[in-house]
Amino acid sequence: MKDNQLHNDTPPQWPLRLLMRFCPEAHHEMIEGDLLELYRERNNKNRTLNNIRYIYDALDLTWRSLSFEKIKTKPFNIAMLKNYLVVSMRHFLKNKSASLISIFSLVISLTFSLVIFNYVEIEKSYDSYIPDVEDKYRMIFDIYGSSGRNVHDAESPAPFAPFFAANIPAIKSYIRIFDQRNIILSNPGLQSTKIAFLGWTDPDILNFMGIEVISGSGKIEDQNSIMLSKSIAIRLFGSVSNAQGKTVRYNDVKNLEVQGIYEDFPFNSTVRLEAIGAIDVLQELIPTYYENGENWGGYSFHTYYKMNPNSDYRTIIESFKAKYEDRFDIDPENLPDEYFVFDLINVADIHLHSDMGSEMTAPVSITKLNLLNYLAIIIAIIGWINFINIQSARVPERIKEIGVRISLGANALNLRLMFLVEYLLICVFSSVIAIGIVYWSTTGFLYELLKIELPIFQLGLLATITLLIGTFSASFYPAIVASRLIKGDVIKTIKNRKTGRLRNFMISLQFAISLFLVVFTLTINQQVEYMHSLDPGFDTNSILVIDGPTTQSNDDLNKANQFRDELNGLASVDLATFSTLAPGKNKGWEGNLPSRDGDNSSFQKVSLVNIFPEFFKIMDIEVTAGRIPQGPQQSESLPRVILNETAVLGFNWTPEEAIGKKVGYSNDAVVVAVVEDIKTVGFQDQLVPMMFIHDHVYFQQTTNDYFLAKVNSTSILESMGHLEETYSNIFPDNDFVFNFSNELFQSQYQKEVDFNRLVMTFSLLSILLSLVGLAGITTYHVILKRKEIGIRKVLGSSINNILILFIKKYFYLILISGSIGLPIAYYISNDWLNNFAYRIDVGFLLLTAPLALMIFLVCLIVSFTSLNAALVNPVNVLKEE
Amino acid sequence: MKHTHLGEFEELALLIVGNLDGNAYSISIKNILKQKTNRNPSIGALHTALSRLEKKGFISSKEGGATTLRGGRRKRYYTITAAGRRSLDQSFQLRSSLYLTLPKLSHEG
Repeated sequence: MKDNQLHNDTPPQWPLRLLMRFCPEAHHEMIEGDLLELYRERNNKNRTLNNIRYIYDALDLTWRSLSFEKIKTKPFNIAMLKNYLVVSMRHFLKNKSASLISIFSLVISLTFSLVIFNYVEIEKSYDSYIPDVEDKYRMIFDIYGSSGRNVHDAESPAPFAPFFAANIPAIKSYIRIFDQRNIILSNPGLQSTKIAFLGWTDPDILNFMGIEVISGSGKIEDQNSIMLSKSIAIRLFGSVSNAQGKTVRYNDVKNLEVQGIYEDFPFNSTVRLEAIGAIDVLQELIPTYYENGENWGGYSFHTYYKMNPNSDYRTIIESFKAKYEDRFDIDPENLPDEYFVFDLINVADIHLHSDMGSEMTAPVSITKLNLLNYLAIIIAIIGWINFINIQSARVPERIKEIGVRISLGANALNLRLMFLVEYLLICVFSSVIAIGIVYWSTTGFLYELLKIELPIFQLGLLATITLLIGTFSASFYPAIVASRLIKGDVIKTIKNRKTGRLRNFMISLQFAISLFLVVFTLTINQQVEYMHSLDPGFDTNSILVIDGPTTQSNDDLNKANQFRDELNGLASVDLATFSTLAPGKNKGWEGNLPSRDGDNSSFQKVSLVNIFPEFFKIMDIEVTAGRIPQGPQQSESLPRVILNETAVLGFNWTPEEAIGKKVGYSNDAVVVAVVEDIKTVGFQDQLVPMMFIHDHVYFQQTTNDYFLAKVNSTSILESMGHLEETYSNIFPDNDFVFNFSNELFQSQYQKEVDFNRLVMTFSLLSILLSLVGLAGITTYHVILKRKEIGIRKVLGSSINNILILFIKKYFYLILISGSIGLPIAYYISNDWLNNFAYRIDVGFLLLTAPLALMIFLVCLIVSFTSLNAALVNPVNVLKEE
Repeated sequence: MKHTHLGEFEELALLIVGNLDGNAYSISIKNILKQKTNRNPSIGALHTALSRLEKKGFISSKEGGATTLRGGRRKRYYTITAAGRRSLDQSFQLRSSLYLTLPKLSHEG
């Protein structure tokens, strides 16, 4: 600190420097002041003597100071904090645009990362509500054939659970659920409702799942009873108390008495039964299938076990194998053509780790959740980087303020604290806004944008940690940069290579991330477009698909025929039929079928579809070999089936060979024709082996029935009103839902489109934040270089030269980002594309176009922010020098 | 602070801090010492004493009162604490009670 005019004499500096080296820092200020005061009080006398005394005092203090106590200074008091707050507010208001940029980028990044963390947290909490969940497992059912695993399913045959439970002591109890979807329950004559899940289960399910019983016993055994969830009871009867003991009608075929009401299953449950009936009712509903619970082959039951605590599930799996082989006399050395393998998955793992078919709630892949988590962390980091960059670039603005504060006695700690208070204030403010947005938009636009569903908002662990660590670290770093100025080395701080390097590194990182996200977005987009462009083998635009009704009455087939005739009667319809396949929606039901070809029997997983002969005409499918049977179905004799080419190939036949061969469907079926392959679902997967069953059309007991019509003009749309009316006359209580096949195909790619939207949102966000951050930095960078610009202009630089000067630096940074981000993007995009049977290649353009775009945007931003400075008249900047 | 030893110089400094009543900082204490005892302790000795007193909890300090004379550096003001006061009381009582029982010297003469 320079001396002031009142006291011209200064004591020698070296003793003080020595003193400061040894004396504890807390005493520095006081001792310096004391020495100076003493020196100046003696000022009017002999100067040499004064100096000697000063030196003596200083040296004396130096060695004595070694024994000084480190006094605890109170780093702050209320008045000081108040002052810091006031100054923060003033500073905030003084430069609104910069402050808003900081807050904006923090709020945006925090909001998005919070939403994601919240989502991930909820997905991870699935089924954790179940009591003793660590001891509860669900059985996995696999069927192996000669070609490997053909079935990997969440459902298993009914008799195995009681069989295993009786023979394996580690199993404490079991629960089986036969889930039936989309059934109609009615309060006869008054109210009816469609419910998504009804479970026919073992008695103790509610206790097993830990669901609270509101009224009734909570155990379902009686075959004439049903238990309703609270919301269904209210929907049907108006209130819980009204419902108890009343009668509901199930699918218009059976009356059931309401025996109990239970609390709805929680939103984070994979099992969400809205009504529960006794498992033995199935004997009444589907006797030939249920076989009094003795059907050892058909797999339709979600089977849950509770194990004794501390029992090892692996030994139980081994017991499964042993008991199974025992029961069916299977020699492990000589496995039959088709055999079962039983496995277990912990109930809490189902939602994230299941890769099986027939899950009640579609599982979410843990990979996707982790990816989301990474994206969210990346966005959070970009937000902090922006904050750190902008704020530390703004510090030089405050040189004067820092100078004044130091001369008034502020020390390093005070200044650090002052900046910390200021930055913390902004960070906390932004966090609060972000939490507010997340909270108030729980089901709002953000979730629509990200295509994720969130029932509630809860601040999870990861979210909280991110908020806290992020906020604090983002506040600390610029505060430390700021306090470097205290050492008085302002220029050095600004030009500090290390800080500059770190900032450049952070900018490159931001742009590398942005580039990666953009490339990935474009890849997904192109892949989806590519799949759209592929030909499924039939004219998707002309196929009208009307969802079949949910009924179970005896004259269903007559009614279906009636509606089909109605369709056929329309002028705009060429031909109509119904089948279990809706082109664009499903690929039929699955079965593991053997070929019966003498001794050469081989199994393969086949998609089975029930059709009428018109099906092939409507779909315009060509017959490769054989002949499509015409005329009436013959349900008594050997069923006739039609295979597609893939299925024929799977059985090692040529199309011609296949005709007349038998396959193990029902009690054997005979192949009468082979047809060309068509794609009935999206192009993510390969063509599947298909079998069209001609003689078994049951228009009942399945919900996968669809009316198909080949339409020849758009005038069909005018008939829709009429059709709807007819439909609801024939099938009361059912909604009329129709789609064209091309729409259904589009929805096949919904998952990819949603994913694309998600990644796109993040990439746009990332670009936006990075550019905002860059604008913030260059604005200040340019202010600091105003004089340099002035001098350059005086020496003859043109505006262009100056702009190029600024752009050049960032141009290189983007190139560096590209060299980091693009290889990663290439690798990850390729990895993602490998999930598809029909895929594009990541081309050169896909990688370079985003880079070019990024360079363009950066140049735009930099020239925009530096143009003002480049246009300034050098006289204005340099006149004070 | 039970039975904490109080040195002679420390006791003096503590008394002066108490006397100055809020205006005690190193230089003012030093000036009073000089004035009352004719001793001129070095500033280092004084700081050592004050530092020990503070450690013993007899005085407390807070910063303030920067002047131009001090080149803008703040002083550290000391105030006596209750413990300091008690210690002075004890010391005074001990001395006065011992003094009062001091035998007279007259018979010697």
